[in-house]
Amino acid sequence: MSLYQYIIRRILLAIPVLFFVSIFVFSMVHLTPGDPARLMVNPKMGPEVVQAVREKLGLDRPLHIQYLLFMKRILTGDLGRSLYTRQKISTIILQRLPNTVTLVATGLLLAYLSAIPLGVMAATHRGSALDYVSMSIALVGIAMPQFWLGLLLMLAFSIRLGWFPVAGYGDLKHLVLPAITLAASVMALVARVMRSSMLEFLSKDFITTARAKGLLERIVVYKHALRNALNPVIALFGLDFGWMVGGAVMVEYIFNRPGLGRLMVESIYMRDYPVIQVLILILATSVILGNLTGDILLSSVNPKIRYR
Amino acid sequence: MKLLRSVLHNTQMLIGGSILLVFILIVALAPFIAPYPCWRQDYTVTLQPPSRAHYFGTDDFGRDTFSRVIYGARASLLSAFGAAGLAGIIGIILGLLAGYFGGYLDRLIQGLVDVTWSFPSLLLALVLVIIMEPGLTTTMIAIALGYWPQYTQVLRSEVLVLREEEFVLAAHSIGASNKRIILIHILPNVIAPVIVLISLTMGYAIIIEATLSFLGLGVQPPMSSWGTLLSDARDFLSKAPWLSLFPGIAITMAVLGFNLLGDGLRDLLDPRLRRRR
Repeated sequence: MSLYQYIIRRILLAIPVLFFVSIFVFSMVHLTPGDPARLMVNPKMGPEVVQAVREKLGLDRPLHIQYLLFMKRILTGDLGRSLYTRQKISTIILQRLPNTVTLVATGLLLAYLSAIPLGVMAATHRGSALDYVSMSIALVGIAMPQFWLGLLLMLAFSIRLGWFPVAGYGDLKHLVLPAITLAASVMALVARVMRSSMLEFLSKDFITTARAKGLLERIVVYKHALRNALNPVIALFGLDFGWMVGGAVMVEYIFNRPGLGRLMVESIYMRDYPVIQVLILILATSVILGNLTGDILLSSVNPKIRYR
Repeated sequence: MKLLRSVLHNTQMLIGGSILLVFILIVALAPFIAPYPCWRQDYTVTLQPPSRAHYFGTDDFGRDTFSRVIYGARASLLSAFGAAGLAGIIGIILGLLAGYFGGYLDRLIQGLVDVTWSFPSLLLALVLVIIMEPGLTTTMIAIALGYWPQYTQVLRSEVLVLREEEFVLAAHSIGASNKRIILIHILPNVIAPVIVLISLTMGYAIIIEATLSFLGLGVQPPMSSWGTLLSDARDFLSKAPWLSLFPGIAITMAVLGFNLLGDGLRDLLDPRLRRRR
């Protein structure tokens, strides 16, 4: 199978998943106890508004028709309005999206750019102080709740040292602590995987051969071992990406960054169902796309995957 | 003896096991260890830093943080255990069915796994918490529904191999029913990875429970978990940082304990998994 064919196949496989995700999001209001029309209306409104919404959303019609109406609205970009601010949901999302994208992108870059060299160094200096210290930190990093790490960083670097603003958004300074908080657990995971994968490849016969022919250690490590050892790290990309999207919810909440994650928490507190539905759909779709990207990346560096 | 020796040589497992033993003792003996009843308010000692009278300081109601952390262990570990157990039950059943029967059933279950995995587990838990009433049971269910696929995927691949083994074919040939083969012949052979998974899921579950409770969507008052303590402490981050420090340390230690135990058990019970890692 060529890479091109693989990509097409992989995209086709994502479609049923997206379909089920949309069904889940659609049924949310129906699974919640109570009248779905009531949930989709600001509680302060009277019964005539509820009735109007029931008719507009088709909530008195059979479920499958309702689902089709729901999908039609989503696909034509008519996302509805927030129950409380009355703003168009599409406007709110577009306002907040850039903040989340910046945060997740910075977090991913930070995690990979620091974890890969760290993992390689820990593997090439196996048993050294560097190895023990970095791997112990990684172990603790995975065990810490993300929001608590955020609070600790805020306490140390904003409240005590005053290096960074406590919360909010704006210039680059506002991005530093949230990005570190978001990156930490992925960094720890990637560093550990990178190290064990490097160790595995450094003990292979072809590495011994490369050394025996007198290649520079630098070339043996970076060209022969690292290239192969990167595969498991690339394989983790989809998982890491999902982790980051989920993590953004808490990080934005802690650091008061107006992004999609914070919007999610706010909407949950307000029981703003139309907003919650759209947000879940967007976040789940982004995770599906992240997994897709991960798989395609992996298969482009490792053609064996395509034949599985 | 051989088993004992390999346990003693397994540092990860020893450290993880010891940490968890301490936590189990804390949960069991909470009323005897805690110097104060966790709910007792004392307005003469509000927001005290750690001292000999109050090891972890006191909060804005003058409650002793050390005692609250000790009692908080109960709700945190109970909900995590419930979540890991429930995830295990769902995941094991689906994994056995998918691996053993294959075909459409397998494809359907794989579809469910894919859909579940397109939600970050925290997000899935948040959604379920708003569909159901927040509380201890909801928290357990919400966490479990995000983590069952781990069990399903591992069990499915184990069963795919076991299904072709000679002892299974032999059972077939003497006319054993599918139910008997799955329960008597296959299930005992997958216990090892299940134990590892439970330990690792416990770690994640503690973190998600803490996160939900921190948001006020997990365990509800009067019950309080480590996450609830962190939630109460949030407004006092600069004035009384010890309130945020100690419950977080408790969470991190417990998760570390389960992760180390899980990794250690994996090396001990299933050397194949270690090489695959």
